Amino acid sequence: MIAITGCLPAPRAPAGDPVPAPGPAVRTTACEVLPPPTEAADRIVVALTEPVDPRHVPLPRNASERLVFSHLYESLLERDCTGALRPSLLGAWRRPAGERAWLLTLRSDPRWWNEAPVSAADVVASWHGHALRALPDSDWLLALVESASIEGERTFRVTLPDTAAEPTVLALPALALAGRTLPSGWPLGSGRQGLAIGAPAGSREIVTVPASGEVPPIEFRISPGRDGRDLLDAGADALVSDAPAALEYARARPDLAVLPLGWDRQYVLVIPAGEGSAPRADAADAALRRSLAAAVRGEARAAEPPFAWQTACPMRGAGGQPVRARAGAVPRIGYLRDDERGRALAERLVALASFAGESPARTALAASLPEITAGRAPVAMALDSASLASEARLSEFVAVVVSTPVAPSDPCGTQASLAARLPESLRTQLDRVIFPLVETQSHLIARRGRIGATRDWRGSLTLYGTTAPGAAR
Amino acid sequence: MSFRARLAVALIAVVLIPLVVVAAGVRGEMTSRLTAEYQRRVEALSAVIRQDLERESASIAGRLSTLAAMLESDNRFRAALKGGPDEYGAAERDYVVDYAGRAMGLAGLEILQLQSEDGRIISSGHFRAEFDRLEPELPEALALTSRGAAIARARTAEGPLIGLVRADTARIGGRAVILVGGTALDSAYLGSLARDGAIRISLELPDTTIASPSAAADSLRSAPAGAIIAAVDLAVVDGGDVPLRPARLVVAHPLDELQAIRRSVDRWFLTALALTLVAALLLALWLARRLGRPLEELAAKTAHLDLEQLDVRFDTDRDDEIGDLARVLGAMTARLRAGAARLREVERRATVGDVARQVNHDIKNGLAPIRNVVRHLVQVAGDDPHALPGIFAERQGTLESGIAYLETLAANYARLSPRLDRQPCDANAVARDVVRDASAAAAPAVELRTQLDASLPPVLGDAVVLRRILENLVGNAVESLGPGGGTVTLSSERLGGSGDRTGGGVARLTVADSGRGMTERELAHAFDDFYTTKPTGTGLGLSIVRRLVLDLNGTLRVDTAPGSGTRFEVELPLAVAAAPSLPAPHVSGPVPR
Repeated sequence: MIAITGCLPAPRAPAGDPVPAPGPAVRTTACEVLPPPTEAADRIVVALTEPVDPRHVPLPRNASERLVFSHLYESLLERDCTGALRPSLLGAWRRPAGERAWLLTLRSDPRWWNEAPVSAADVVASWHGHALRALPDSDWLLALVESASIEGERTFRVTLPDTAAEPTVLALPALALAGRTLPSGWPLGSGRQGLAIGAPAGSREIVTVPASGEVPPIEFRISPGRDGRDLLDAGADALVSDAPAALEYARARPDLAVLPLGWDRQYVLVIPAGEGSAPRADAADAALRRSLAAAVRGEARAAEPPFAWQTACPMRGAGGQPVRARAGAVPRIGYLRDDERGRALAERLVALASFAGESPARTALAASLPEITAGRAPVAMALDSASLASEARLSEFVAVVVSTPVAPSDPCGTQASLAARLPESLRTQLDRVIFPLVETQSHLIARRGRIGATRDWRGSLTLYGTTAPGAAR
Repeated sequence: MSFRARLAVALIAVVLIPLVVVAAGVRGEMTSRLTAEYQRRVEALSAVIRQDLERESASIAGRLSTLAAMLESDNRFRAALKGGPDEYGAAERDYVVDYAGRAMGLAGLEILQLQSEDGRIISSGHFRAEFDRLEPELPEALALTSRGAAIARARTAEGPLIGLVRADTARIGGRAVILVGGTALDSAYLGSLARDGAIRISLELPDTTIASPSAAADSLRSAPAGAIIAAVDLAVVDGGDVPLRPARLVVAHPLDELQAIRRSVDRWFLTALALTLVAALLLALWLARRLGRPLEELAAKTAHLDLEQLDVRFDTDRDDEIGDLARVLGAMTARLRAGAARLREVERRATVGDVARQVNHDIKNGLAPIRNVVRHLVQVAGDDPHALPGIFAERQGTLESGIAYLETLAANYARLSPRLDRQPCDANAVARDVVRDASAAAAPAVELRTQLDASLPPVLGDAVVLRRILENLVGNAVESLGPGGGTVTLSSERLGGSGDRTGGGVARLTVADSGRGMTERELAHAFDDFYTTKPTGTGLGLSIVRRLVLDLNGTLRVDTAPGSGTRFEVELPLAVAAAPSLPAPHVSGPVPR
């Protein structure tokens, strides 16, 4: 757990510390993926075709959440596409000579959305909040931060496991600042784009409140199941989508730009009754994964290491035996009900299991996943995400296709996010019950001239527009 | 077996046999007609279904032909096919893989897959993920069918799908693309073929059966009744060494409806049977009672007949056999009455004769000394008249003794038929009088004593009769003492009360002596008329006592043994149901002379 060794009020930061000037993130031309907007806008409308759940803050589970969270919640530092660290919530950071801990100082005027000042204690409490809210079993935080002690109102000392020359881990979204939960369900944040405090819960429209009048507010419209082309035609300035039809439509129109958001989702097969000591990834076969990638609509590729669940993280769990499969029933390969890619992968596995032996993918499947090919022909079946954590329900399936973020920079958070969705008995042996399948990426379709965008080192986009002269916040 | 049981069995047999015959006939006729009707229905429906399948096959062929033409004109598909899978981009790959799904929906098919010339699946509409599967057997088998259509198994991600399929071919860039498509023969489709919820359609394949979802199907599975069936022969692509195997579409009319009707008929029959049984039993009971009651009455009257009671009457006005029987019994009773009267008259005459002979004998015995004295006196009067007073005086005792004997004899005969005057009387007073008189006449060696209960209530009887009873008993007791004398004790006591078995209670009068007692033989004849052990006895004393005690509704008990004296106990009913009273001391002691 994170150790808090200081109390408020804390002494001021030592005089003479080199504190860079605080301010908004710096946009560099090299990291611009869309040029600055030429057209003023009162509001930027971003359509999202995947669900966005505020309970997932700060670890997004799909491209839409990733885009929304990155605009609403500030990380301690920013890291641009070149890998350079820039101030964000932190105004200054340094490691005193001969010490392991980093002395961190907040910028001069960080404020919550409700205009309350942000303190160093808020930052540490935020990390505890992540542990309580997003990921109950979150010893993964220890993999990011060993200890934190509050030195003053804006100063705190943090010891990181990573002894690198720069505290790059502080740029991870997992350590972004998020406070108490508002009536709308969203945690309180401090980013350049905020949310109205009294916003209603469960709304399908998330309208940000910019911290300054230089940029217009962003309206995220959540429209699961809608055709992306319709959303664009209805006036959306941007669309996050992986639908081939929408991408093809956008590519055919000169006023729209298509920007890949990076290979951000990884589809894996959870084998509840998996046994043996060898990690599943070692048995992975490229032919099988390519065959699986071909079954996915949109862009997909064979999953590539390193895999987050193979990282040694301080995971806590009961351990124990794998889930015992129900004998005698027709083997089922499950997928989460609203996950079309997961369904395509499950069905492809069912198809490959019934192929004759001449197919290389079938041969690889038999070698890598004998649980699927041995015995009766399997069938594909949907299940709810809540059922995924039920050992009894999971025992009805020989394997289940689930997706997890591709986050090589935050493997323990990714691992914890995946583990939290599985029965406790499987959490300490992820590498033995998880078989990597494919990676996918979504795209941002943006209206040229209305939106500017920059990319950070993880591929996440920051959108911005411009307001008409004289427009006030 | 009783008369009633025989009557009930006969009635039940007469009623049930026709009922069973009628029920069996109705059941058999109904089964025959319904079975024939079912057979006509399934044969007609199987002919219609055969035409339906031919129309469906022709429709599939038309749609596949249209799709083949569309495919040949699709340049994007043509370009993708020319490049091959390895050269696909994501968009082209998705276009090809999804082509069959789109076309399947457009053509209204439920099964569609596009296959290359070597049988590899390019695109599958019913199972999108099945691309690249090598399956040349299906189009080859379809080519062998006479009409171009066959039953085939398709796979989906959720399980197998069985359908009626055909094949067609599109030529694209010199290469053939085989279209295999059809409609699903699932449970719902079979149900639509049935048209009638009572009929079940099932597709029987070598290893499985699909049935229409009719309610009748469930009953068919659960009931062993069977069904009337007709079949449509089909062929199924098996995929093994034999490309095509026979299959059949079975049209079945379950017999469960017939069974239900049979069960209903059986229920009604059993109900009628039960009601008839009850009615027959009730009728049998009524008839048996109506016939049996007069017989029972005749039997009861006849049971009372004996020689002492022949006044039973068998009057009847019935004109049937029972009336005849009653009249025969009445005539028989009349004859018995006449015979009994004659018998009693004979007995009476015999008894009177016996008494007359006894009286004659007794009188002769009494008159003999008198006649001798009178003859002696007559002789003395003729021979020596002066000696007559002396002789008379001498023989006067003999005369008086004979006369006394005759008087006693007459009195005893008179006592054979006493007249009762039953009323409350003081038993203690009577006892004291009897003992006093007896003491006066008894020898000095005889001691008479009384032990009387002073609180004894009056008994219901006749004081004269009670005195005769006690005089006889006390006299016999005194006479039994012999020359040496002895003791005679007369005692009274009250027995029981209103709550015991004696009802209102009884008075016990006991005469006990210390005489010689009686032997068993003497006791056996002690109460017979004219039986006596005494030289001067008449043999009527105890006989009279027994009769008199019975006339007073009392009881007499004797306790005796040779040398131990005799004890007579007479128990008489009390005059009133006396209230309980305090016990009084017994008064006992020698009776003053």
